Amino acid sequence: MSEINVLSEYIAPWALPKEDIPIHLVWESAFNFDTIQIDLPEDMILKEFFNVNSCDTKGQTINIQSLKSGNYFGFVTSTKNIFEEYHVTRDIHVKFIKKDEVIFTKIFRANIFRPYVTVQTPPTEITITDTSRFNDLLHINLKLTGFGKITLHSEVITGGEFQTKNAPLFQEILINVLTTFHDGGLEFEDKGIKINPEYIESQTEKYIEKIKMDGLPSAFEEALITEFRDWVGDESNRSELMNIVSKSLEGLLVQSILFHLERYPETNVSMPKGRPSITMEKVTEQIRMKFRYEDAIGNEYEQIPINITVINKTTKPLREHKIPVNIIWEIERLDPWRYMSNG
Amino acid sequence: MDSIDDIQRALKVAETSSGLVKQIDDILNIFRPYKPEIRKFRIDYTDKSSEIKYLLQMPSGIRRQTHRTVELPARTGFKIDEVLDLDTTEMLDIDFDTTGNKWIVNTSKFPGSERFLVTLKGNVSDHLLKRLVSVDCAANPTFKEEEDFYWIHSALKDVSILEKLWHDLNIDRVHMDVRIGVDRFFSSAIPKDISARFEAQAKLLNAIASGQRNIQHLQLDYRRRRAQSRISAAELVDIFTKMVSGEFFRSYIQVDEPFKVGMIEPFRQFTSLVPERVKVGVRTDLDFKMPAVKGNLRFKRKRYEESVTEMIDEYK
Repeated sequence: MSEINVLSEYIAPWALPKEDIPIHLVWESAFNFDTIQIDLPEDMILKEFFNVNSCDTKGQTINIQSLKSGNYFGFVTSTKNIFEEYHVTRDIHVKFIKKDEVIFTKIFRANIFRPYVTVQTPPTEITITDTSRFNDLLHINLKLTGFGKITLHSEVITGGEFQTKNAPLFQEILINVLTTFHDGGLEFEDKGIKINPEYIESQTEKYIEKIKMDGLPSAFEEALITEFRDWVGDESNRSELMNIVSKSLEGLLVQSILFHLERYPETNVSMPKGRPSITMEKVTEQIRMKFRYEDAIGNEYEQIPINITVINKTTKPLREHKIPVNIIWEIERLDPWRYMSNG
Repeated sequence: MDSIDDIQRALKVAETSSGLVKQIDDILNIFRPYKPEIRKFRIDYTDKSSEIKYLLQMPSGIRRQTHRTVELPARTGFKIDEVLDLDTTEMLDIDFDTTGNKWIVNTSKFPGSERFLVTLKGNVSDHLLKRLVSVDCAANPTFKEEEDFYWIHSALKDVSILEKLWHDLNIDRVHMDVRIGVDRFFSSAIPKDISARFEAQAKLLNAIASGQRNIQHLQLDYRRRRAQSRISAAELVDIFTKMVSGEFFRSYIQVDEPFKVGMIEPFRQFTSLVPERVKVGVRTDLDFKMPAVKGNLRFKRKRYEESVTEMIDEYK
């Protein structure tokens, strides 16, 4: 019986729960065997074979009867579920069998890591007084540990409405254009916009089309909007309009950069809607909110509920007010290499 | 090398669902008078193209007179790319019909040699490529001091159809994209004074837009902050755009052999002007000798972060 001479072996060294883990084994062709047996751990599934012609499956054991060609095979596996632990290992046994005897065994060890978000000493109450600074009212300490990137979403269940932001595109540019139209606007630094001029031109065209078609912000007086509409509709003002819009792009760039900072507040954290804030029309007694987070491949993890009692000590009735949720992040990255070295 | 009958027997065994197999069978029938042998079969994964080299026997005697032309209908999915005279090793200057319906080779114009190597080029469907090859890379990088690591892996999945026909199959330039998040490098590289100035600028803009009358303090704050840092938003976006260009980003990427770095292009959402990710193309070749390849892509994170900061500092 000849011994196997392995030319290449591989298992993806780290993965998220449910992420594809490719595995392969290539050997010198002079090795004879009858079947290959794969023993998969209970909570793993086989997703795809490489170069396997026929096999049968009994529970978590797969018997490969024949290969399609040559002297290699492989497969893609993953875990079925997400885990409580930051890190788990799973051993996959591959046995080459000849005449009912195991003639070669290879154990592939899968290292699965996940991210973990926890809330540190959650706020239980906030007090609103006549002198409250709403921007500074609500702080939540979140801690990200474990492995990998997360996307964080936030929701308010009762006690107000979550104000979600959209990327500052049309509305912002429109506000800038109207402002410039209104009172000569801001003094823009004339350093010349160096981003692709074709981009500016095509965006400007788009904005002008939208300005003609869409509703204008209600914050402006009706008379101004009517005047503005007429002015936009007049083709002879086109070059001036182009000029104002492209100048306003500076304002758009500012908004875009600020939004980027909100969207990516920390290493491995993204918040697609930027920094959340709660809009309350009246003082409610309870704010119930929750954070949801998912990893880089879209696995959703445990939700983080936060309940806050609102104590109202104001003497005057409150109008609609916005309370930004200030998230203070603590990041503790797990180093997978420390866990994988013995794998 | 297999004779035409061997090849056609193998084709019958092969799964007929593959359009490629049907196309090759059609071509073999067209070349039949010249005893075709397939010498090389190559698939280019990146171009989604295939190349087949046929050896044709064309003695200048009776066979060329009875089969004056070889017509390759466009429906075969292949076109004739070149014809090499194997006796003189010279490339023939061949006229092809350019109407698009068929490719016609007039054999009576061929020189007196007997053996010719005809190269055909065709397309390969995404469906077939997916059946042939697997590509995978890490969704998240791991890090070691100054570098981020992404594992990359590629393997031949099912080449039985092709191996029955060709012993030296090559699948070239198997391609995958590794997505490197750069979002955070830009967030952390923007100095506090610059972001504070942008905030002041945005506040002022909003105040004007919402019709606030008392805005002198906002104007003052904005002017004061502007005096401290001169870099404009446009210049900042310009720096970011430069830093995600393939040309610049390439020097921060390394891949293990046998992988090679391919196309690098930035990716950003339509609604954002600041780039968020860079798509790094990674390529490798696969064949029967090397049916599965593994390695890592390394991103020199620390050096990149330093470069972003340096570039911003230059403007201050």
